[in-house]
Amino acid sequence: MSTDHLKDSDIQHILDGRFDDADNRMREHLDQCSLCASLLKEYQILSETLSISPEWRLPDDFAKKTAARALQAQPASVKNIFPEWILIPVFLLSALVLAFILIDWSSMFDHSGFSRVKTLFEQIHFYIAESGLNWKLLPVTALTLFLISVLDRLIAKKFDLKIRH
Amino acid sequence: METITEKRLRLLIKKIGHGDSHALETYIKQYERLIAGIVYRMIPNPADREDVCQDIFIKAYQNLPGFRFECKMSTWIAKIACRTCLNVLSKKRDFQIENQENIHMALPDESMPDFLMQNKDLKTRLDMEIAGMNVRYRTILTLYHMNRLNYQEIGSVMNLPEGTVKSYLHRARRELKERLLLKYEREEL
Repeated sequence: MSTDHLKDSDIQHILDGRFDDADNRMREHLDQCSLCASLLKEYQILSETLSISPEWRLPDDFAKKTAARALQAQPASVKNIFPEWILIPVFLLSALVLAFILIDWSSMFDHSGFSRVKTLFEQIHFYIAESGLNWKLLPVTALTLFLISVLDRLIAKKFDLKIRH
Repeated sequence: METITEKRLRLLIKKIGHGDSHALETYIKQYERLIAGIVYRMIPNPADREDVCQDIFIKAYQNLPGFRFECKMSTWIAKIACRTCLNVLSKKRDFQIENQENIHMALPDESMPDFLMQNKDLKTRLDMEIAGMNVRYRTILTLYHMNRLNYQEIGSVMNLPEGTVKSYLHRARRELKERLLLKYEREEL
């Protein structure tokens, strides 16, 4: 038998059943050393007592009362995949695109130095005009709805508004 | 606590999402013992416990749509319970109970004068000693021994690495054993 007693952490390791073949030495020591065995026994009693549920119980109508209270509260929305801050650049970009679609910018650049931008806008407007389709309506509607929803979320977040169902 | 299959849990969550109060009651009954155990150990003031349990279930209900089945529901709700309890404790500033007087102030509801005289069993003494321990140790002991969560699950609940959980659990048990042995004769126990 080894004269070195087991460390407290080794005994707790055995208590939790977390040992493998390499720890068989410890088991052998425990079988022969009454001091270490009694320490393990103390931990086993402690562990068993700790696993007893408390006598304190919630009242019988707890589930009913809590369910009624919870249903009055607003369920949180599904967690966003994207961080909240992403809404601000997305909002600005969408507003820019919407503004571009709705406003004829070419006249505004006539006397400015943004000639390259002007050319770009003119080209895009040209293609839109050439297509002859009324496809503007779809992105305008989609973007408007998107902007409204983003604004709604930002306002609700800012003022911590709670919607009751 | 009866184990619930993932399929049944999904159905339950779906029903809860549609405002089914019976489904929500079933869900609460399923986990109330787990939550009561955590709250009992973490919240020293008996008058606060029921309200804290209610807050935990309301938070769980509000966040159910975000539950992704990436962990067990018991781990997820235990995490909410621990955070809520820590929040309550930090607000009440009774986070750390340092001396004996405070331990008695923080005793659970059984701490009536005649109670101490009549119930000298290990369970009672243990409850008293746990009430005086660091809240982190109390939580780990409860989650591991009473709620039977493993190191990984406790780590997830408490945002701690597995190794730290193991180390804290060992320290907590050692401290508890020493507290008991210091106060009571070995033979008494």
